[in-house]
Amino acid sequence: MSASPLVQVSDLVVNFHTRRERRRGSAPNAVDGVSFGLSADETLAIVGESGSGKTTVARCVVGLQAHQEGTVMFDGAPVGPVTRRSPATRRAIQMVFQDPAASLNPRMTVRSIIAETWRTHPSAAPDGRTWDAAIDELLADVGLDPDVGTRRATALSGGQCQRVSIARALALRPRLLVCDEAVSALDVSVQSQILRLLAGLRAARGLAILFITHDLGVVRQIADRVAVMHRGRLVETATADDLFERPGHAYTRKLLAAALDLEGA
Amino acid sequence: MSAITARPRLWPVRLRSTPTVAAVATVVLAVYLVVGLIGPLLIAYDPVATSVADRLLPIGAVRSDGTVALLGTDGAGRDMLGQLVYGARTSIIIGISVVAACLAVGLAFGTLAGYLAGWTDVAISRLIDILMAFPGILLAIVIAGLFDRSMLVVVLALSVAGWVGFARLARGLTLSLRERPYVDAARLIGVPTPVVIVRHVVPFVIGPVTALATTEFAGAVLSEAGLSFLGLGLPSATVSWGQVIANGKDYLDTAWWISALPGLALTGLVVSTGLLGDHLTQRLGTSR
Ligand SMILES: Nc1ncnc2c1ncn2[C@@H]1O[C@H](COP(=O)(O)OP(=O)(O)OP(=O)(O)O)[C@@H](O)[C@H]1O
Ligand SMILES: [Mg+2]
Repeated sequence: MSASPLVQVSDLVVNFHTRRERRRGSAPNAVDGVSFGLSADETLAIVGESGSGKTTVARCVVGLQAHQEGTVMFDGAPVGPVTRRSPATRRAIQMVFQDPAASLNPRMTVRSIIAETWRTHPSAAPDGRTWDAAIDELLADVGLDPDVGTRRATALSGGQCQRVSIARALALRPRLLVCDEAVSALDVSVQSQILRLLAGLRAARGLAILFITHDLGVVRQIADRVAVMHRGRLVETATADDLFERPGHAYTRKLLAAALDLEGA
Repeated sequence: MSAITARPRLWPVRLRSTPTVAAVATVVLAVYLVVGLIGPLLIAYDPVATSVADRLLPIGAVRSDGTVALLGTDGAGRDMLGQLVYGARTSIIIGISVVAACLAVGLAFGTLAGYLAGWTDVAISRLIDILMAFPGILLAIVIAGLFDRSMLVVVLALSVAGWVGFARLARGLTLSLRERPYVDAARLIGVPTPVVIVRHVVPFVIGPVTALATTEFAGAVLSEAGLSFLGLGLPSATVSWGQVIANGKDYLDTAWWISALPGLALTGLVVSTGLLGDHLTQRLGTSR
């Protein structure tokens, strides 16, 4: 790992307590002291069961969720909520969401969805060629035909929607891509297509990826390192190979055993 | 839709809103629109010109100048047909103006409150609560009573509380829309907040709000008639069904048509608008 990681999350604490819970101090935190680093062109997977706080961590990193304690550093500087970030930082961190269809405004065409990113960040807009040509190229990068450009999200399949989501994120040439269960809603063959696409893009563009999933099979395909989350805490961080060969924490072993059960069944 | 979501109805009888009922209501409304907007161009009517010789003529009677009073005349000898036609125009203008004003204000306040949350939401929600504590018509009566009678005052008086329904609806829808991933995506990209609201929220609020607009139109027409009936509404130079009904109330025994005809016209307009509104609410209101 390089000396200074691209993303450094330290002692992150998030809770969604109601006022009464806060007074009593009884309810657990959704995220409870999470720390990890992610270097440029590395893929870190965060795994854990439902409700363990994975999405909350991801939303803190991109700035959609406020945290009570801790810091999120990007490129050596602390970053706050997305509205207070500099345009350059906003450009550099993009996200792909879990629900493919809901990630795209159903009233907008794919073309206008992608063009919106360039209208917001003129510095990322293609120069030397028309936007239409650049959009076609971007769609080709994520494995879509140019004719998808004129369609709306309602006329696309889940896998196509997710590719458009990825294209929208890539249009800004980000340095960090956060994928929250980005393939969970897709069937297995489309899943591996998208995973291969992400791996290819990562190699071609030097992209850091924070990959949230509850699927250990997916982790094996894409991750360099894995962080295991359980009830708001990181219980283990290891390289992907180590994790599958020599799981350290009891919870990780349980997770692996459960996954094996599923495969065997 | 369950009984829990029952909102105040403008008429007591429950008429099921089938597509046929909605189609009939649409046709009836179209007739009102044509009569109200084109009628005044074809029929001359002067609300100030009275004729003692032609007072209280029944339907179809012949006037002193030999013309036929198709729908009779009132206590001052004024033509009833003319009053109905010009009154239709007044009702339509008032209804549309009030609904347009309420929709614009309600949509803006509601989406802002729902999207920005925090103090903006608290302030707007408290304002809504306060306005909801008063019966709207009472508020309108007070405001209309404070100023000289004019079209603008009536529209303002009816709009002061009328936007609240739109704001509540828009706020509720926005609260769920702002959680949509595509709204998050727009925020991540850094799309300016007003643009996010206009491009990613408002298009999905417009449908249900339009359905409500139809129902509110009926309410505005009815309230204007009420104000004018009380003498708080439009100046007497403008024909209003409410005023005509009030003019006829001394003659209910002898010349029923003076109050009954504008009353029927008002009922027809309000009921068919309400039915269409119900239909639109079923069609658009629940779609997300
Ligand atoms: N907006 C919110 N309001 C209240 N509680 C929330 C909110 N978002 C998350 N939580 C709670 O925080 C905890 C962590 O949720 P989170 O969505 O981060 O889990 P997750 O690991 O992503 O789960 P999943 O795999 O089901 O997506 C859960 O207990 C959840 O109920
Ligand atoms: Mg999640």
